[in-house]
Amino acid sequence: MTNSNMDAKARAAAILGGMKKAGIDLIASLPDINCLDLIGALERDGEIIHVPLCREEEGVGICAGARLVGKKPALLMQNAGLLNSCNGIVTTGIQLELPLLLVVYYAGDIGDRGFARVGTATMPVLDALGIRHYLLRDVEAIDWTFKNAWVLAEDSSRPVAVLLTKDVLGTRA
Amino acid sequence: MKRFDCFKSLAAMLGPDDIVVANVGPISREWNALRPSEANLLQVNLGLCAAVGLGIAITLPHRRVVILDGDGNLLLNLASLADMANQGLKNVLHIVLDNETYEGGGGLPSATAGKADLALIAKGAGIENARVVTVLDDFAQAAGDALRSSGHRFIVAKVDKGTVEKLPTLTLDGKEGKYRFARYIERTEGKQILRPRYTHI
Repeated sequence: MTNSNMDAKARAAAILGGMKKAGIDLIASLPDINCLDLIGALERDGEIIHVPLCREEEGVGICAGARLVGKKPALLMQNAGLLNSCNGIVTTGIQLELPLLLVVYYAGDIGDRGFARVGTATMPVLDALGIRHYLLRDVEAIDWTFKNAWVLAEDSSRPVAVLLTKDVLGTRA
Repeated sequence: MKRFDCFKSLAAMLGPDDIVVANVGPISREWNALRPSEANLLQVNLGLCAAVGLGIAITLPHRRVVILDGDGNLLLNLASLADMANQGLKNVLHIVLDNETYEGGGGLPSATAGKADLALIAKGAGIENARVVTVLDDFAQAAGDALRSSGHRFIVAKVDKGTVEKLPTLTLDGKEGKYRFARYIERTEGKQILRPRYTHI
């Protein structure tokens, strides 16, 4: 793992920076404790529109509406929220063929103590939905991953998922 | 009060630039019959009509967005109301055509046929300007008031079950509706939204 000397706040700033460089200009989010620094950075950012959510699935609708009128949207959530969003992802995101970045905190990752069930379900569910997904562990891969994930989302006219791990977030003790 | 009559009244009040987001089912078919327009985004799927309207309204704060929602549709994602309220929207009229029924789902009653009151729920979520209307004159007055002012207005129109006969068929599928609406926004907002294809060959 590279850049292990970066603290969680610096990593959050790098992740937000990667999304911005990819052109993302609207993020709907629901918090996970591992994403607090990222959401804090988003709150302080003056350029990206931030829409806090009560439920992840409505974020799919918000991102869809924003996309149809010109935004490049991302939905930031935990993988349990991804499971909560499946109907909207299918009946709106995929049915209308909309590019959308799903930025998913990967609870239950290898090495976690807890959430193994939701971790086990995550990639098979994404695969079943036909959503291509990329696991982000290395800080140095942030910019490349978001840039190319958005290119793929646009080119395929589909949602694309980037899975955030504790490794890249720097939240593993 | 008939939904179709509410729509006739509303259609006469809207300008050509007013964006309308309507949920899947007879709401979209009736609205399309009365106000066919590229500024309509129709047949928005289960539970996401308000959320899609919110995404449009945040992105285009200078455009009015009218959301035509159903009771069953909104009940599926009540969380939208809380998040909309907290955005402090200035350009949204959210109308729920409440027939207390899952009309598209076979006609069984929704929760508003029982104790649920969507205007009270909206107020509790933080949308101060929320009201219920049960007769057409009140609907016309409430919609007219909302359209003459900025803000976030929420109207529950209690309407009869059933739709009108001989509605024109909606021939747009979701994708065609997407392209039509996005191209309209590109033209009226003067920006590129949909990515050009095959620019390299």
